Amino acid sequence: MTNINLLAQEEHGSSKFPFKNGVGMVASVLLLVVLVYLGMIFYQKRLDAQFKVVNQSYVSEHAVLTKGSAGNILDFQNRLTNAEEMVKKDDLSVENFSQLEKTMLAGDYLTSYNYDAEAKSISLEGVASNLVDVAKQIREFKENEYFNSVQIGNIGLNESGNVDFSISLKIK
Amino acid sequence: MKIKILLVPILLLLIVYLLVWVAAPQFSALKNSYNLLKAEKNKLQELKNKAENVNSLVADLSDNTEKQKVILAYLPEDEAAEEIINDLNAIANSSGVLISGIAISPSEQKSEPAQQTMSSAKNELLRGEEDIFGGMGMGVEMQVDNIPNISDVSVDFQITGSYANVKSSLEKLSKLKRYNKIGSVNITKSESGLLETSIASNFSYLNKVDGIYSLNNSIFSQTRFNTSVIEKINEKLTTGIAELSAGTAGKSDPFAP
Repeated sequence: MTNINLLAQEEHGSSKFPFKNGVGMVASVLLLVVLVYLGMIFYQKRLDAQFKVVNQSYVSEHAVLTKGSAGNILDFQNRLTNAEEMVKKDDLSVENFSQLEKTMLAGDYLTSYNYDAEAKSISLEGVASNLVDVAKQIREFKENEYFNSVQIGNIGLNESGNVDFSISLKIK
Repeated sequence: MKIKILLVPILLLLIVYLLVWVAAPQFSALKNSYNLLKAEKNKLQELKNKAENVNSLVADLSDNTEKQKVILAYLPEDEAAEEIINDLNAIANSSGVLISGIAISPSEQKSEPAQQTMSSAKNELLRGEEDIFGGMGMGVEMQVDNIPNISDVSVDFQITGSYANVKSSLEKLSKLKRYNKIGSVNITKSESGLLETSIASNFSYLNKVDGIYSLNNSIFSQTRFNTSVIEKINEKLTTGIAELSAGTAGKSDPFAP
């Protein structure tokens, strides 16, 4: 009598080798995915806890520093920074006098002097013995390289017979 | 039998679902948390370095009290109008000129700050970015440091004296160890031959930093102050600040001469 195997090949195989039909393998992969996911959640919690600790250290240390001597340090530095630019600025008010001393003719003299630092200009009023001295005085100002431009104002005889003059100077 | 046939595709679908909609977002969040933690650790380390720098700078400050005095005289913390009057008087006395009037007008804020952490002059409360906990970014209120700007006080005064004495007083004023900028000088020759001089000058001051909220200023990355400007002040300016001693206060009749 001939033996007939009525079981399908797959079923026969699965009973002996559970992974061969794929179910076991897929289930293992699923398990692995779940395990990895749980591992990630666990690690995430650890990271969050660490972050909190580091953050709290940062906040407390920051507070200690800003409430301490850091204000004095910043104040001193602020003064140094501002002074750096300010100390470079030159004051011309004294140099103006030195230049006038060099330029004024012996016979002439000033009666008025107006210096504007922002405009870098000087307005002068003076007295000369005669018109030739006024002309010479103007030339002296023009030849002085300290001055950028020389503008002649009013020139006229005064009561004592001398010549009054006014000049505007621009400083270089 | 049918269940067994459907089980594999169902499980596969479940795996795909878990990978795409559950595990992948979790991985992304994990990566984000890791990066945040790394950044926070770096910030903490940076803060610790700055704390060491602050200690070094404090020691540097304590070692340089004389330099502090120089810079505070050059840029006082307030108008110090009484010191201006005292200094002008000292200059006039030493130069031999007579002061006939002094007018000190209210201070004026300069427009250009030397350094400020942000453009606003007033403190502004800024909120940090939300962190993974939904709270403050770093748990620190992000306030802006209010770093004062230079302010000016306008001083107009009149002196009378000879040319040499007027020139001497201007020279002393321009070399005063307190910052001032002469804006104008007007001289008229009087009938007596003396020069009646009107001088307008701006004296500067710098309010004290009244509190800080951040350590972003570059000074906190250094361990020492660069005080070369103080040497420049000492070299360039030779007119010392006049000592203002305390008067004897207390009088039963304030109107009595």
